[in-house]
Amino acid sequence: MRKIVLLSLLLTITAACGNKAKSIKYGEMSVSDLVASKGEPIKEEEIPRPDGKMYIYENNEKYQIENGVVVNSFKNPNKDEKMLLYWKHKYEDCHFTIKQLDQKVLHLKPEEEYNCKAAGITLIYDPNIEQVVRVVEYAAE
Amino acid sequence: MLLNKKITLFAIPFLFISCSQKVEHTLLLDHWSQKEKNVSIVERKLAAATEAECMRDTFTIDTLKAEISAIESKYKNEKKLSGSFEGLDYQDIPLTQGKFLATYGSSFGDKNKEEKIDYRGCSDVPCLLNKIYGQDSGIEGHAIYLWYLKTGHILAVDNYVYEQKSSRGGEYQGNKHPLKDYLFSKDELYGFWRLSHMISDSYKTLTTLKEIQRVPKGESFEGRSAMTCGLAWSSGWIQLTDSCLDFGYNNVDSGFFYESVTHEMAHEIDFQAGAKLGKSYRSQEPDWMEASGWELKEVRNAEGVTPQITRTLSIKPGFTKFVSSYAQTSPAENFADTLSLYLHNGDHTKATIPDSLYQIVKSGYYTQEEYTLDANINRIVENNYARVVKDILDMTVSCLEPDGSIKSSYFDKVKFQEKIPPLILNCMGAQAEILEKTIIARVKMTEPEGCNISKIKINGAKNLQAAWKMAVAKQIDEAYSKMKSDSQYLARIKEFYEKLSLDQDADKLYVACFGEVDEKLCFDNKLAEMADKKVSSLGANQTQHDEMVKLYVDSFQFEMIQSKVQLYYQNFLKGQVSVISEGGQQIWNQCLQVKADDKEAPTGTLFNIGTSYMVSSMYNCLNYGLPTQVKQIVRSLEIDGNKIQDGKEESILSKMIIPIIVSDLKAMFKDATDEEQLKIDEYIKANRESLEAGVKSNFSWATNYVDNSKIISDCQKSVLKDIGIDLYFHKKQDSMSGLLEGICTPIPKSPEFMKYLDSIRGELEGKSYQTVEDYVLAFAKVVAKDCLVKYPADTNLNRVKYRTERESCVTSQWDVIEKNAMGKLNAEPLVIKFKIDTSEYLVKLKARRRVLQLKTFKESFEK
Repeated sequence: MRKIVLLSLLLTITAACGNKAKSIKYGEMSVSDLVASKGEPIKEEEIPRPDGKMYIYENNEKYQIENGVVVNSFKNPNKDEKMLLYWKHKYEDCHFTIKQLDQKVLHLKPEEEYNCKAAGITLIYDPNIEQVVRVVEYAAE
Repeated sequence: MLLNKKITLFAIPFLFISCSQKVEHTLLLDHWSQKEKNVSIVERKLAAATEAECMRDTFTIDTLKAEISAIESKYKNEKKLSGSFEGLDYQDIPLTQGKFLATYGSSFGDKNKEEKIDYRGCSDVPCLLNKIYGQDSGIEGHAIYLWYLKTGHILAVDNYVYEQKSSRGGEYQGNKHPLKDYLFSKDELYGFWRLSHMISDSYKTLTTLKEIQRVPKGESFEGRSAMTCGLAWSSGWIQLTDSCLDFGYNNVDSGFFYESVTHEMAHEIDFQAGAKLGKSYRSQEPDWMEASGWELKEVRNAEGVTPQITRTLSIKPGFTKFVSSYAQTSPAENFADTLSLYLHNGDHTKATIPDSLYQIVKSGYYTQEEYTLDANINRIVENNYARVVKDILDMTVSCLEPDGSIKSSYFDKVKFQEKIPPLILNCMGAQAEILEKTIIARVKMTEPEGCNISKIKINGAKNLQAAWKMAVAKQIDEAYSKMKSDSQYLARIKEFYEKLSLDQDADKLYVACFGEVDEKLCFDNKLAEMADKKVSSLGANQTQHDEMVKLYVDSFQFEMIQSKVQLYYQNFLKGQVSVISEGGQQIWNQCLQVKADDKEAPTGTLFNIGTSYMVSSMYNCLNYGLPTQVKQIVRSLEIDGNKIQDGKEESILSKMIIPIIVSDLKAMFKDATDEEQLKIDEYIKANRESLEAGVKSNFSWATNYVDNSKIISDCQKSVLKDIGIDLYFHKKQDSMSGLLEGICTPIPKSPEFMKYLDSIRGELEGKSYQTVEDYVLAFAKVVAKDCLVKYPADTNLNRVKYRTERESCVTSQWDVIEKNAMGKLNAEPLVIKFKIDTSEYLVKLKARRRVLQLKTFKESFEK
């Protein structure tokens, strides 16, 4: 009897703890857990990905969802995060791969993505203003 | 309308000076404003004006010289630069000319320096520029220099187009071009001069714009569609081809020239306004995107697709209110075309774009001015009205006792409120007719749109002449009415106009409100309060009081004052170049004294180095020290011995100086980076042999003897430690990568290393076992990842529920894991080379199995 009570108590505590806001695990977190953690989005958009949606929150914070799982986020950089030097220092050992995005404006340099898959980070860098303009997070490899 | 309010209030006595609001201390602005006011107003000649004479006819060397002199005089007491250009000492020429040469002199003429230019005999900048045009004198040199004085950047006088394919000047699209093909023609320079009288201050404060260049005559842009006529680069260049510089048929006062140049300059406003917000382009800010019908969609693509991220700007479904079809190509083009057509086709723009967008443009970039036909007419009338109020009033008085012989039909169709006797009307009409001719002649010559607008005749609707007549008639009406009861009326009216034009108190309010949460609200409230105090002392009745307060408030709109004050401060700073440069050099030198250390994270965004590298100790020193240094610089600034006393003024100037200093620091950074690279090259040359000998003399740095990549990595770390040079602008690892590769890549196969391995064979066998354990853990991690998918641990419940299955999933594959690890080890070259006996390893692994499994579970399942 005592064991049953203790086990029940253990399960209750576990369940209660399980309902607290979690940090986001990309590739694993479900939509319902995202909503439980961040609330309902301001806007929801369809995207051309498998069962793809984009949940949009304040400050243009976005979460890309595929097949019911949060796969990555898009966020604006804060303060020092706008500097590429900050990220190169933070992920000192990461060899960032660089690719140009599709050019949006004819006579401006196209944005570039700096990928560090080991850290699960892609930075969108705008060479016209020399700043990181978006931080994309996903499951690290 | 402001004009109507002014006319209404002519009847009301008004005194200003005695009621000026007192300020606690004098601002630098007050001293500088005097210099701006002391600039003599350049009046282009009116004598012998004919019906055909337009602004184009006043585009003469004398006119431009007068404008140049007026601007240069503001800086006559400022410290001149040191240096010279082609024998012309900067101490012998005005400060602004010295600054022009210091900035642009090195890029004059032929980049290849093959087409020599003889600058001999020149004693000023216009002469030097004319020499580039192959002439001793001419309007071209004055026009280019004057454009620089008004805007801060140059109309290019060299033969190299930014980002062109050839590294040689004078070569474009594979064709050779003489220097003259790159120079703006006289007509084009007239267009720029005329444009300088049309554009708002937003276009004259583009501090990041360096040059407007001409693509050689007859060519289109390299690598782009022939339809592209202009380009604007955020790095500070505008480029224009022939088709962007096209005027209307036989009319240099019209044509695509004006729209296209304004369009390209508006792109620069987009870049600069965005940068001021610390963000991307102004045209991608939420309010602009919302008002102009754009949205940004972004998505991360599938694995293997590159680039990984797609960011697409698209028009919101159903939105059609674009100023042009070209504006639909992107928010940036929308921004540029909207701003350009707002100025050059105001009626079309107002009728086409959403009102919310119209208001953003009007208040953000045109200080509340509009450019519809009606607005242009009203503005021209207002601009000229104040000059001739006295004449109108004198005319009114002189006709009170008219000579009956004068006949005039000028006011025949005008309905006056007062009953003005016909004889008086005839008298006033005759004089008003002459006044109108004089004013229209002046307008045609001084207003950019004057000639175009004065030609417009709209039956039954307002045109310039009709608007002018109505303004004069209304003034006569009011004056006539009030003169009947107030003999002092004329004196008061004259004083009213004089005082209003001299009133600078609104400027001080802008300074007082700078940095407030809502600057405009603060300014409007203080202005209303000040106007109320000024008017209250006059003892006018309530209606007159309210009207006077409104007139005062309407005369000093926030955007207009903001623009004016910002421009005044900017002009002031142009004369403080040496002080600011010295300040920048000082902080640079100070931070260079801090020992190079990259431990702390780089912090601070004032000084930004893009993709380049700087050791964090120096980066942080600069960013931390910059605000203090700027404060010191600002506090050292003075005008005729008067220094800054006001905190808000200090803030305004600090904000303006920061980008100037940052630009200087970036130039120093570039030079220092190049210098350091030379230092690195010399170091490598001098020390390569000793570093190689050092790493080979003692292999205790090696922590792994079977994995070549780890051996090389350990070697590189060891060499890096031995490199005795402090680098500030290059990462040691990156800048020495060639050296490190050269020394360390051959190490695993080198005879010295082999000899070393022989000597530590016993230890080697021990380490190779450690390696196989590492391989086991690596393979186990992969397996554990798969097991985690099948038996998740994403919640506490699942972690407990599937624990047994998860662990069994891993342990059931352990034999395979061990087998694979052994296989990998046995394939290692060193294991093969030294015939290391690994037969016992499997036994050891089995003995250590449970330890390794628990380690795997902890690392893979419990984080």
